Formats: sequence, C-alpha cells, structure tokens
Amino acid sequence: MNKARLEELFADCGDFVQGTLSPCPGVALSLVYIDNMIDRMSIDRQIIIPIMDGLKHAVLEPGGVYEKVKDTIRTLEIADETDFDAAITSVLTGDTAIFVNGSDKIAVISSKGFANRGVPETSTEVTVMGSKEAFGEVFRINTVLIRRRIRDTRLKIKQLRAGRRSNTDLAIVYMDDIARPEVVNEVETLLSEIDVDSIADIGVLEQLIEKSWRSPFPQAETTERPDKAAASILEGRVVILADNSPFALIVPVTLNSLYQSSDDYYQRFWIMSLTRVLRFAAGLLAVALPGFYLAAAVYHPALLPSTLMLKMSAARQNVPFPAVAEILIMETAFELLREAGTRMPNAVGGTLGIVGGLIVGNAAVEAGIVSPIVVVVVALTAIASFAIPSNALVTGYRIVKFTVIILTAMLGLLGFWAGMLLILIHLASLQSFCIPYLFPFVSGEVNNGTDLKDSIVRMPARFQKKRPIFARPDQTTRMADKKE
Amino acid sequence: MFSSNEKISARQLQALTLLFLFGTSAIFLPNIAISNAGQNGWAGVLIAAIFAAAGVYLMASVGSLFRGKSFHEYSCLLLSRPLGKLLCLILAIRALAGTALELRIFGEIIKSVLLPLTPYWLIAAVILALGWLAVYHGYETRGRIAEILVFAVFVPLLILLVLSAFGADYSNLLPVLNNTPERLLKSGFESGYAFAGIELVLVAVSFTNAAGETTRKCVTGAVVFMGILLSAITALVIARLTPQGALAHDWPLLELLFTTEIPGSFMERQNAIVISFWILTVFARAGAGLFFGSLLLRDMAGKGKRRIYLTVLVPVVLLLSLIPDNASRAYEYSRIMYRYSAPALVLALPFVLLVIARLRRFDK
Repeated sequence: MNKARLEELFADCGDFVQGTLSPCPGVALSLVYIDNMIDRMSIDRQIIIPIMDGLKHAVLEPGGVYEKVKDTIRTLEIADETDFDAAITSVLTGDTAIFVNGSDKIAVISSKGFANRGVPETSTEVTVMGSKEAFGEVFRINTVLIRRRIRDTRLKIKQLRAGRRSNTDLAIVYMDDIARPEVVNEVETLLSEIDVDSIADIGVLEQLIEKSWRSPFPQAETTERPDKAAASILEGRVVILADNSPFALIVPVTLNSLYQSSDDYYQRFWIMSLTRVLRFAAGLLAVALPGFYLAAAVYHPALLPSTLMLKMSAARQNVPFPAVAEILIMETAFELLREAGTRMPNAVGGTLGIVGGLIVGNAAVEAGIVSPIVVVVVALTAIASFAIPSNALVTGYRIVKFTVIILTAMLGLLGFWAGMLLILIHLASLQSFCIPYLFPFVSGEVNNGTDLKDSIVRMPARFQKKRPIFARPDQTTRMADKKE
Repeated sequence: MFSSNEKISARQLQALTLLFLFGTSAIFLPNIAISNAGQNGWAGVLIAAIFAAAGVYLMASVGSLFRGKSFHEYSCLLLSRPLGKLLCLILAIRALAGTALELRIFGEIIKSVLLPLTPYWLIAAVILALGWLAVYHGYETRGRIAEILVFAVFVPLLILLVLSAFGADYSNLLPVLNNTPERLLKSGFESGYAFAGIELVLVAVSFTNAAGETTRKCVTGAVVFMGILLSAITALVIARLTPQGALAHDWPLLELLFTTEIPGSFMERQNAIVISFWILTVFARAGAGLFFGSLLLRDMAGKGKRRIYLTVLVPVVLLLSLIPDNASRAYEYSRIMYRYSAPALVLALPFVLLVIARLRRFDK
C-alpha cells in the first residue's frame, strides 16, 4: 500500500530512492530517502548493517516487527511517525524513513548528509578583530554556531516551517528570560501567517514580515556573523534563521543599531567612538552631499568661498548639461558600476572599479561631459555609503538621496530641507516591532538613556551595564556592579 | 514598551513648545522690544516671558486635572457644551489664522533671501505639505520629529549667538533699566508677541502621558528657556547693532546672524544656512497649526476623521495666507490678532478654567 503510494508521489523523481530489505522471512522493510541528501555511510552503518545482521535469525511476532526494527537501528535520532505526509516531508529534508510491512508507524531517522560549504568565512561583514566564522546555508550548522556562543538552557530555538512548496525550516532564536514576550509572539505569529510557495532566502522572509513594506528602510537587520547574532540575542532581540540562507534576520531594529558593527565592541572605545561619529557623518553625506552641492552650486553660490565658487564656475564652463543633469548622470553611472561590480567575479571586480571609476570618470571630465567637482561629490557620496555597516540601510539611503537631489534641483535650499524633512518624517513614523526607528535619539528617556551610551559614541564596555531597550524591563542588567 | 496611542512624553511636548515659540516672531522681536523700551528692550522680553510662563503653568494645571480627556471634552464639562464648542472654534481659528500669517511672513522672507524668482504660494505650499505629512502620521511622530529638530535648530543657533557675543559693544546696553515701569510693562506686553499662540498648550497637554507636575515643569521650563534666549538675543542685537541700528533693519536678528563670523568656516555668507533654522521651525509651526486646527474642528463637529479635516485645511490655510497684500501687512494683522486675543487666551482663559475646575471640585 505504502509502496504504491510512494511510487505515485515520487513518480519521475530521479533522486528518490526506495530500497527493500528482507532480513528474515516474513519481514519486508522499505527504506526511503533522497539521493545525496543523506549520509550513505551512516545509513549503512546505523541502519542497513544492524538490521541485516541483527534480524537475520530473528523470529518475530507479526505485531512486534516495528519495535524490533527500531531497537536494532543504531542511532538515537529516531522518531515514530504515523502521519504519512509528515514522514514524506522529513524525507524531503534529508531524513530516511523506514516503512515496515504491516505496521502503521513509520520510523524517521535523521540522516542528513548533503554537500555543503561547512562554516564559511565572513565576506560581507569583514572585521579586523573577532570571529571569522559566518553563517552557511545549512540550517542546523547555523543554529550550532549560535548555540556554541550561548551555552545556556534559556536560549530557545523554536522551529517551524514555511513555504507551501519549499517547506523551509525556520528557527526563532531568543533568550527566554531576556527577550520581550510580545516581540517573540509577534515574530511567531508573523512567520506562521506566511502562506507562500517558497522561502528562497531570508530576504523573502524579511519583506513578508515588515509592516511598513513601502519604506525604503529595513525594519529588520540581516547579518552573516554568528557573533553578532548571538550578541543581539543577549540584548533581548530575536533572531530568525532560514534553511538555505547564509544570513540571519534580527528584530527589532533601530536606525542606531544599523550603524553598529561587531568590531565596535572588540576594540578600544576611543577609536570605535571616533569610527561611530564618522559612520553617522557618512550616513548624512550619503544622503545629503549631492543635494547640498546642487543647492550651493546652482541656487546659493554665496555660501561657498569665492575662490572655490570661481573654480567651480570655470570647471563648469564647457559642460553642456545643467548641474542637476550632471549629478544625475554621474550618480546613475556609479549605480551602474556598483551593480556591474556585484555581478562580476571578485578578480574582475577590482579591474571594473579602476576602469569605471578612474578611466571613464577621467575621460568624462576631459570630454567636458561632467565637471571634476561633480566627480568628487559623487565619489565622496559613494565612499561615505561604503562606511555604513548595514547594506540594507545604504540601499535605503541610495533611494532617498535621489529625492533630495530632485527637490533641491527644483527649490534650492528649501527643496534640500524639504527632502531632509521628508526623510525625517518618514523615519520618525517608522517602527520596528513597536520600537521607534529613531530610538534612542527620540524617546531615549524610556530606557533611562541607556541606549545613548551605545549610539553616536560607543562608551567604554564597563559603562554599558544595562541592556538596551530590546530587553524585558525586569532584565536590564548586563554587567554586575563591582563593589569597590 | 511603546504603544501607538497618540501620546507623547513631557520631553517631546517641551521640544514641540520650544520649536513652536521660535517662529518668525523671534526675527521681529528685537525691533518690537527696542521701539518700546530702547536699550532695555531685553527686559521687556523677560517681562513677557514671565507672563507667558504663568499662563502656560495655568494651562498645564488645568489640563492635568483632566488627564485622558481632550480639550473639547473638558472645556464642555467646565463651561457647558455650547461655550466649550465656541471656545474650540475660537482656538481653531486662532491656530489656523496664526499659521497662515506666520507662513506668509516667513514665505516672503525665504523668497527675498533664498528664492527671489519662486512664487510665494509655491514656497508656502511646500511648507504646508510637509506640515501636513508630519501631522498625518500622528502626534507621536510630531513629538519624535521635534526631539530631533530641537537639536538641529538650537545647537547651531546657540553657537552662532555665542560667537556673535564676542564682537559686541555692551556699553550700548547702558544705562540699564532707566525706563518708567509703565514703559517697561508696555514693552513687555508688546514683546509678548513672541509667545503668541502659546494658548494651544491648553489643547496639547491632553496628549502627554506624563504626570501633571512633570508636564507643568516641562512646558513652563520651555517658555522660561525661550524667554531667556529671546531676551539674550535682544540684548545681543542691541549690543552689536545699537538700538538705532537695530531699528534701521527690518530683521535685526537675521542681520546679526548673517554678519557673525564663524572661525574656520569655509562659507562666504551664511544667510542661507541661518534661514534654514527657520525653515525647520516654521515647518514645525505649520504642523502645529494644522494639527490643532483639524483636531479642534473635528472634536467640535463630533464626526469625521481628523485626517480629512487636516487635508481640507491645507488649501484653506494657503488661501488665508494669500489674503494680506504682503509680508508687512501679514505682520500687522498678526500683531493686531495678538493684541486682541493674547491677554484673554493666554492668561484669562486658563485662569477662569482653573477657577471653575476648582469650584466644581474637579481637582478632587
């Protein structure tokens, strides 16, 4: 019965394997798995050999075959399953199912052993100090990477599945006693409400759980660093993992947390505070510099020193386009370069940067298409955007930057401020899991100003005794007070 | 944690009050004060601040007696329904007209300093649209914006004022307090123009989640701070430009800030940057006018969504701002409105409301 059903279900599935074992007369077992998703060695050693050897001379009662087979298998990771569909789903995730003739129960044995990259090195969040480990595509390895860093039974890894077709394993990882229950519950509800064919990556999940989905700004933080994920969990935040994704999703998020990097906590506070100030300044430049240049160059040249203004005018003399067109041309060219660089293999990427940035840029200036100052402005804006640790935030800034440019082109400094105010209004209205996006720069007093100690400057580690706003109000102490 | 309940903290109310008070009146204030009390104009501003602070203290006291109730609800409770509604209407008209005049005055300043070729209505429409957007997202969002803007406006402004203090001739402030008390009081009354519109605190206090005492401290503190700042600004204008020199300028404060030298600055002239402070405050003020106007009218009508009232009010305020022929006329109207409404709305109204509340034992 099961055999026919399996054959029907897996018709034309070349990777499906169904083997039959008959260790002794009257006993027939069906071993079912997906080729190359299992560890063949462990199947041989833990299942096939013990069954064939152990049951060779056995005399089995008709009702006791299943139990005897189960006892013979040499593994602890074995589960009884009575739901046929659930057993099939397990098989599709790399488990092996054993169907015993005459039994309703199905033995599901954990035998995942597909090829993977192991624990890769960080590539998008490189730091000078700290762990070099990154999340990989294998869900279980990712949970291990977090568990290794938090050896506490209060670290909870709640597993669930999403995706009608993909049946993707998801995990909600949090500290039971630190995370706010309302946040954990909301995450669980949002994940369980997802009804979609497939969760191809954590990025899909991020878009599906965001409330303000029209916003260009991320309402969840992605990281490939297990140390960052673990640190976030210890702050009371909730981490979401998805199978096949080398990134973890962290919620809630604030604009401030998107400026933080793992490195900030591994080095001395002086240099890291300076770096933070630079990053915030970089954020401002990434959004405002082209717009401000436009306002100063076109509408209010009196803002600039007269020598600079004269130089700029001289440089622009032979340029056939208005300043706004120049800026837009260069910004578009840079966006093209960035996009092309992302698709290129690493070895070619550097060459592309040189060709695009230096040769084409220089040629454009010499040909009189753009003025040198515009190249400087666009290059500075680009460099500033690379100084921000969160790629998702940079993406948001890239989009809103164009709004500021267009408004400034129309209304000068008034347009510039209108653009900046639009961004501020939007950010002020944004929330991530009920926490204002601009916290702790707004409503900072709610957590007694604790979060401000880790914002534009990073105060010394010994001053950061309290957990940030993400933690439950009764679990705010991170570092014990030392008695003098 | 945080709840989306349209409530703001006392600190946010303080920031909103500070931004509201630092409107275009600050630009004209030195001239008003000097023309009434000469070199002692700064004292007139302090007198005005004392009265405004007292008024605001009374407003916060009344509001904190009715926590959880809107101004419409508690004014109807205290004064009867028709009178309560009439009061809402008066305050709404005051808020909208004040915003329209402020918009006209500042729009013309922007036009003359930043955008001489741009029509006034476009400048006003941009500011109103931004105000509308901020209000559309609710009072909490406005509170958060104010917390950020208060730093963006006051920190650079204070730095500029400190720098301008270095080149001042303080002998221009002498002789000190040689005016008659009547003249000083008149200067105080006229300088109170800087605090015009502060009666909206009556409506705003019902949006705080803080205790009555904290709210009182915060709003009164904001008025006192602003009084000291405006008094210092007036004194600086007198010291730098002399009383006669200040009266020769339409906007003596702007003149003071435009001509202040910033050490190490690469800017040739900072006019545009200085005007930026007011762009931010006038945006906040436009938001306040639209917010309170729409709120009071909706409460008075008793039906409809606030956002609809808000959206309808944007063109109304824009059209109102086009009524005066020019900025000077708008300024005149604004002064007339202040003279006839401020004493009643800032001092008498909260006092009467508080007395009635006490008599009717609402404080128990």
